[in-house]
Amino acid sequence: MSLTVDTHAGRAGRRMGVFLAFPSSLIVFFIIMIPIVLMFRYSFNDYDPINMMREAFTFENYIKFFSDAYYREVFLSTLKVAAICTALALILGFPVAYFLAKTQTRFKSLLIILLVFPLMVGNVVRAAGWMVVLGHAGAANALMQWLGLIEQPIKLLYTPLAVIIGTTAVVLPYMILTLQSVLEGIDFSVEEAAQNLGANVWTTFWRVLLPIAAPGVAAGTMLVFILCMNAYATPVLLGGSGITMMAPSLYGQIAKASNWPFGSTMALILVVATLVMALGANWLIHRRYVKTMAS
Amino acid sequence: MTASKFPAQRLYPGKLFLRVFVFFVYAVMLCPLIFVIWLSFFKDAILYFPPSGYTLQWYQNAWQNQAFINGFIFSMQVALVSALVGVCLGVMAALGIIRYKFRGNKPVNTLLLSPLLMPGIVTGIAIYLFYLRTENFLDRDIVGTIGGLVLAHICLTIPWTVRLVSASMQGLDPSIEEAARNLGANGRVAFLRITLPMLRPAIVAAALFSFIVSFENLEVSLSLVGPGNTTLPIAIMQYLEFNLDPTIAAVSTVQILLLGVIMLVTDRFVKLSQLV
Amino acid sequence: MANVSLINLKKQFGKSLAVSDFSLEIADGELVAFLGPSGCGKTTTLRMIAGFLDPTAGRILIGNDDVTAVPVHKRNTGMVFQRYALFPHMTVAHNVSFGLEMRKVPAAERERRIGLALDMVRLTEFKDRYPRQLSGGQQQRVAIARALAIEPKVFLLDEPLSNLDAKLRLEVREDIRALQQRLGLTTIFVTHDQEEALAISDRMAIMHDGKVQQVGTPQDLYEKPANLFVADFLGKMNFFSGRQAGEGQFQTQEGLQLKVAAVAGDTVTIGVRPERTELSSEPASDNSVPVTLKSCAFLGSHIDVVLTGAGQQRLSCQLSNTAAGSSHQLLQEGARLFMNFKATDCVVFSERGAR
Repeated sequence: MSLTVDTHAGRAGRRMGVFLAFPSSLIVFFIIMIPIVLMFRYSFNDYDPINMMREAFTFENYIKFFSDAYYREVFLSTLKVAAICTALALILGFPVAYFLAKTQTRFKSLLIILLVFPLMVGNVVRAAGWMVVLGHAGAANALMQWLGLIEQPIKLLYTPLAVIIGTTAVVLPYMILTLQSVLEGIDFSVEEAAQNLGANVWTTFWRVLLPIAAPGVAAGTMLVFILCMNAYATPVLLGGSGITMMAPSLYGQIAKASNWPFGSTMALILVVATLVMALGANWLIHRRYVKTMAS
Repeated sequence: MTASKFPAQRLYPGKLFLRVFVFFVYAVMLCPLIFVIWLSFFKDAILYFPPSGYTLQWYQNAWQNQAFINGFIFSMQVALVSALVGVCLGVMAALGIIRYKFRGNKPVNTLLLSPLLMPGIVTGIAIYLFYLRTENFLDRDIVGTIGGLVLAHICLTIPWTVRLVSASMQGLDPSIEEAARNLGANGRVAFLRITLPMLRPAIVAAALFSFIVSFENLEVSLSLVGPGNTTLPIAIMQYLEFNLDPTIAAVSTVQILLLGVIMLVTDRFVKLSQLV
Repeated sequence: MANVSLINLKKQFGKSLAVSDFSLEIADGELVAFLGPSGCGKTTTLRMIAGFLDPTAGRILIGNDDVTAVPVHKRNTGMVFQRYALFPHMTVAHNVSFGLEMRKVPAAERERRIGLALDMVRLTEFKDRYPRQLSGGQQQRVAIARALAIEPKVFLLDEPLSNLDAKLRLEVREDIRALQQRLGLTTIFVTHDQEEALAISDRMAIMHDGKVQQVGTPQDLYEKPANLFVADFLGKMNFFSGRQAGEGQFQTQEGLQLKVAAVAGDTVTIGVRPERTELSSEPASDNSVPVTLKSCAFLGSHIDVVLTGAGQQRLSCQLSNTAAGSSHQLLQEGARLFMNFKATDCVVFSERGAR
């Protein structure tokens, strides 16, 4: 039941409601909606080196994006990194979420705070931390040399691997928190019931726990995938020239190449592709979950 | 508890493994921050492990660096204004949508939450292009001004405020306000003296969280800052593209501390896990 | 305090009729219980009296004033809610003082009345505590004090005991009744628990599907239920279908001849309470119905016996657990016995019951 108590407000109340929501709506409409729509309109314009843009209606930018091997590679790299990071986040995050949901330790709220803490300090600072770890003279190389595993420092920074590590670390808290809130709602006596009926730990997980947690898994996967696809600071600082991803690339188109139409095109492609794939993954998981329940 | 002894025993090695695993994952998530803070005290100017000693000089260094000072002050200003305005407008909007249910309140709710759906970099660029167009029209500068940036940040603080305050409103027990009216308070008094105080934790949390969101924002701000008017995250990033040293670690640590402390304060008002 | 008149109250929500044609006169100082299963309209009616809902039709009078169009905060009805609804950010004393502040009662007088109210519910030493520091029962008592402090014309209670555990329920229930009688409060008490309603009300109104089924004292409703719903809702009853077969005679579907004192031409069902029946191995009393014993449950103060009648219908008999319970040795599963009851203990109905 929601706080819509004002049954007597009637028409006057509704007017009040509109009045209250109006300033916010106005701002968001003009600063977010209109610009986004305009930008997508720009993606159909022609590039003009002097004016940045010339009014037109052409699909040339889209054709250019998909026919140029370089840009296809940018898109695919982004996709690959996002997929790997999402999968890693799921595999690493699920057990942690499970632990948090079941634990009764008094450190639980501390553990949650430690989870939220990295989210608050900003991606730039977190990326800086990975630079310290993965750099040529960084902690990882120093440790491996000290242990005698390698002679010379190996290149970790400015590689796709660094981006994957950094991005996964960035999105892990989101995955864990989403999963944890779903798992908290599960009555764990279903686990005990399964074990009582003869299921081992793995079977219990696969056939009892996972199907019940599937909506949470779907939500977490969607959220994390979108975050990975849209990542900017982490790929720039950790990937450098070793890998180019969509968000940094499209920013470069606007800020450096000043090719507004093409940059807008990339933006539209990024948003639509991300949304389609995220929803697709969501649908797939729901389908699988329904199938498992039915079988 | 009806769990029989056998499964509990069988799980024991599993239980240990789980705890180690959890520790490892937490280490992965937190180690970048730990290393940044650690680096900020290294004696050597060039990154090297293990450090030859420790010092506080880099903090002094950072304190004297004009770019960082300006960035810090600028970010503070923008965050304070964006949070304040965003919270006021956001609370009003949440009230309008949830309490005064008007026709079309659901689409308006979606509109107000929509800024969170777009990638930050795309939003920033779109606003940038829009500002340029408007600049021609109005014949004054918008890009690079503090006003232009604040306006964009308000579009980030409003959605978070609406989200937090709406959730709190929907969780309130309606019979408490009914009791107030039954005892003789008219609609306005009941709202001001009973309902609003119950919303206070959510409103304070929204203000603090909005501050954090604005301060640490990079992607939207990137397209909207100008020479002399840049935010701290952007200043840090620009430095990091060329150099990694204890000075930048010190600046980063300051940001970590500031936002970390605010987060801890927010935690007293609202359960943080529900922010995601 | 004042009397309350409900005149043809009706409440429609879209297509569903929550309350239809409810009329009732409640005397000054009377405690009337609205009793019924969930969804029967009792809470809806209460909320109309309080003013949270506008009736679709009908009028509400408090004293001699028509309050149908008066807004909630001007009606002067003190309400106690199911989940207490205490103001979490105010102390106990502040909660109680709220209504008085709304009425602009001066500070000294407020203090006095707060003290009195808290005294009545025996919570004086808790006046500076916050609701979260109190137990459920204490919170409900604060809610009661808060409603009474304003000296309302009508005292309204919306299932006030359902959130409390069993033992507390009894205690708070008795407190409420004692207070109500002491202060002479006109009270309306909504509940789905018949024991509560029977125990404390002067009169009860049983509701079902938005309609009032019967209004009367607890004894009236129990001994002389007006229809099958009331008969079956309040306590338990054994039903026999059939029709009149002569003066004081009733023939059941299964062919049994029963002596029923109140039988009339339109009687198609008769009922008899399980506690008015007895068991024996030979026919006895006015009516002796052959039954087979199915099971019995020892419930401490009495024994519930489930029997199967000639027409495979389910009957029950309640035997008190007295030392001289002579029929107890008969209680073997499968035993063929007779269920006996007097002609005057039968209740007649003109509706057909599904049994």
